Amino acid sequence: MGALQRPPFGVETGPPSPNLAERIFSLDQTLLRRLIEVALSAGGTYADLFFEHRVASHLYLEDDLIKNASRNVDRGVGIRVLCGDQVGFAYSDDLTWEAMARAARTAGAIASDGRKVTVADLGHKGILNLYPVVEPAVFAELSQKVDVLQRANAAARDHSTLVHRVTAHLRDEVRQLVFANSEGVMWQDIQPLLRFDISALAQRGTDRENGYAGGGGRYGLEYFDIRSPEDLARDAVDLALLNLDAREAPAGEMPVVLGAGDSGILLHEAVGHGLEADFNRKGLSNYSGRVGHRVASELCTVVDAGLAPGSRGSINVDDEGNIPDETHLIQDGILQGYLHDRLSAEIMGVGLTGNGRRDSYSSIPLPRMTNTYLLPGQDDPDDIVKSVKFGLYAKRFGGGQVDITKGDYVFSITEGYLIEDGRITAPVRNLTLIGNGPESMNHITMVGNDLRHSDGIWTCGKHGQMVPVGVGMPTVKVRQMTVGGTKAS
Amino acid sequence: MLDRRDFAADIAARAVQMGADSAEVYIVDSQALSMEVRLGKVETIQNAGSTGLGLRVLKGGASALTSTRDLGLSSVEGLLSDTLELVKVTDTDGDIGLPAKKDLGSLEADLDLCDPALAELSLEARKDLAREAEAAGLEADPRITNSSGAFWRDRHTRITLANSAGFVGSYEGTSAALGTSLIAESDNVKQTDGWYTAARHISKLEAPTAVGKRAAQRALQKLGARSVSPRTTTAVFHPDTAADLLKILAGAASAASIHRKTSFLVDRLNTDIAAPSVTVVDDATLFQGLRSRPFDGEGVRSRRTPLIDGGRLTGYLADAYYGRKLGLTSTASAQRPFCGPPEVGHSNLMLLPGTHSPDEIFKAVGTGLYVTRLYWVGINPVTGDLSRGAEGVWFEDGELTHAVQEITVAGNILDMFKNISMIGNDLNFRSAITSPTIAITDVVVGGR
Repeated sequence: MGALQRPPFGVETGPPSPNLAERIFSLDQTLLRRLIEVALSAGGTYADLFFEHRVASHLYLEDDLIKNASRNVDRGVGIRVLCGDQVGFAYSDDLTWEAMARAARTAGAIASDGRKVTVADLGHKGILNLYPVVEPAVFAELSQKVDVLQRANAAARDHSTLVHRVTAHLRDEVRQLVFANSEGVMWQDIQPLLRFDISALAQRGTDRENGYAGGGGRYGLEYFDIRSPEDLARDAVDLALLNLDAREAPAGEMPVVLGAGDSGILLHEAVGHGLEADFNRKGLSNYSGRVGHRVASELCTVVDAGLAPGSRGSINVDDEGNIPDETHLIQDGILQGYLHDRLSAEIMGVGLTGNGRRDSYSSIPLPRMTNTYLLPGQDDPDDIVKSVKFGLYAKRFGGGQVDITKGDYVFSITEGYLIEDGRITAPVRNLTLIGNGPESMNHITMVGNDLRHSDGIWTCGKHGQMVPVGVGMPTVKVRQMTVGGTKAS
Repeated sequence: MLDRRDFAADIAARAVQMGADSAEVYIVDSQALSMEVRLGKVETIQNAGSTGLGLRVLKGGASALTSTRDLGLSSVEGLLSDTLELVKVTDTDGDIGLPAKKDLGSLEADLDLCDPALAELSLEARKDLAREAEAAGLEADPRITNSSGAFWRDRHTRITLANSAGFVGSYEGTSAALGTSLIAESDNVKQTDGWYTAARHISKLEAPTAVGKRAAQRALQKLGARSVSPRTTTAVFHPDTAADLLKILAGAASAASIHRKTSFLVDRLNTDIAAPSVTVVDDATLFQGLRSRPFDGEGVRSRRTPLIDGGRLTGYLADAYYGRKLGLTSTASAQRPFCGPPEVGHSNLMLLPGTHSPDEIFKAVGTGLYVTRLYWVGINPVTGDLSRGAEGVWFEDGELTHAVQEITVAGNILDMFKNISMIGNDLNFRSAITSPTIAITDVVVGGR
């Protein structure tokens, strides 16, 4: 068998057939049920099994050459036992019965109440079908993927003679998942994911600037029909050239217009994390105990929904077996509720939202975001810019970070412009936005009618676990934000 | 079970038999335990062992890498043929290859990376350590109103590396960490901060009560925080935030960044880039060091590399490939997970301590900003321009006066290194990148 062909078990496309467990993990339902019983043999209130088989590949281009090709196969089972609000967890990358049973007993060691839970018969649960990929990129001909990188490289170099270096990555993966729990719920899912990144370094004299562009989602190589490698490459080069011409940014307080799309990262950091229920059930978030209160301007309705077909943050089912919902976290400025996993929903006595997600079989589920966005408003984006006498237009972001407890956040802007007399004028570089989440949300005075979702590049880290997410935003005006530039004012 | 070293060497040899020019096998076996305790009660216990094998095949100047967690015979046979297929798509580059034979080898000195006492520590004892740390913090002050919890983590790892050039090596290491994070509250504003300790040997960890008290003190210190108006000032960097600046330096000093020209240190070798009092070394041979090891991710014998000596940039960090690109020898700086190719990275990177106590530094500076936290976003690695979110404490006449939040610190990192005016004597080793307290003049502070 060559690595370049489909593996013998094949990959289900469309709605998965009901036998991934047997085909990939050689497990029948009797065995799964027995394993759950082992996990609960010392007591406990609940147990679940999460089997994962992940194939990932990575191609890397630098100096016009395909520098490295890699392919990784990972697989294992994570076994979790709950005893009230206590969690015991173990995993095994060895799928022999002895190793799995050992892991089940290790996870079960959290419980010593001797309680006997009857494990229900397993029955398959129907899930969504948001990413029916014709052929996962992992199993596509390698030459097709090499072609993508080479096309991007050529386009970047053709686009400007100032381009000195190009690096590009094509990463793709397929995760095949099987889940079963002590309540008899069983499901399986196949999750494709593709991400393309390109960086171009432009040099003029001794000045150098890097530009980055990327995209992807739960697609195969058909993603490049939506956005071509050439388009992404030119985008990266344009950003590098723009920053060569950019001035140093001013520092201080000023109105900021957040461009549609990527600015959703602001929502993700400044609001979303603070609404994850694990922080709130412990009273650790600045949003704890604030349901029903005003936490944003009345123009703001914030939604988390893992439902957009093909989006990087979408999931047919969360990692605990719950179907993702369109969760209105903030409605017209009023806090409605939090993002839940099983544990937090149970402890807080509220409904599930389908946000229990995990990095892999070797990690426990936590409340996590999927696709988080602000619903569009009434304003014409041009009018929003026109309303600003002097301020900043923030278009693309390098990343962000938040302090959950106080709500303070930081973002770095990779593409930003001055607004002078209602017009977008000079590009500015080395910008950082800082502020407090609820405060900035209260300072939103205009919301555009142009909601756009960012292309699939964002990965969210929490407690060391990385999960793919989506963000979205219409053009928005924030009355005042603190801009940290390199220029003292 | 077949000995890991023989097993790895056999696979590398098989790859050559099957047509590879050379091959390298990297195996990681690890056992890890982590637990979280909150308000005295155990919340989670995670405990698992895992194994991973990575195979790198080099052929005709091209390279490919595959990995698996299944070390069974049929899985490994599949891996071999897959990798030899995969290597066909990569392009030829004359600099790709195993490290020079003379560089291969394992350090003889005993680095004392493994603590036998860890295995003797009972689950109950580990829980108690975490509980003790949290309790000490909660009891420290009535304004400590809540806890994010305390954690205990430990790990025992064995690395095995073999290549077709005849290198075979293995080593084991342990590490443990204990920390807690607390909430302080006054005037309806909550602030959080924490502290942790980490070491190869459990006897080298800070006492749990010390960890808890320090976490509490750090959270309390943030109460009453406000922003400051934009200004240029001298800033005193806490060892953690000074280490954040060193981390930027470590990335820029990577031969890969230099080759890609995405570093502000391009063309700066053997020039003065920092104040004359500044000496920075990367030392993989540090006794009991968290990142110490007898050899790197390609089997190159570990060494101590001076990066900045008396303010002068004296070297870059290189693995075999990027070293060749720049005409340098490997500094044994190849880092890798089992499932990925080697990349250039630091080991124990430190700014060597000076003679001043932190107190003396505050007194000497008089008035300025004490930077206790830097957010990670906001650096342009190509130019070294930096604009980062920060938190800290304002001080006057050498005394801390009020907490500061919602500010940025900005400047060019090279200017900042040149403006280091004082270096503390308080170097610790709880993380891989470490620095004493330092003072930097002319830091641009953005606020409102």
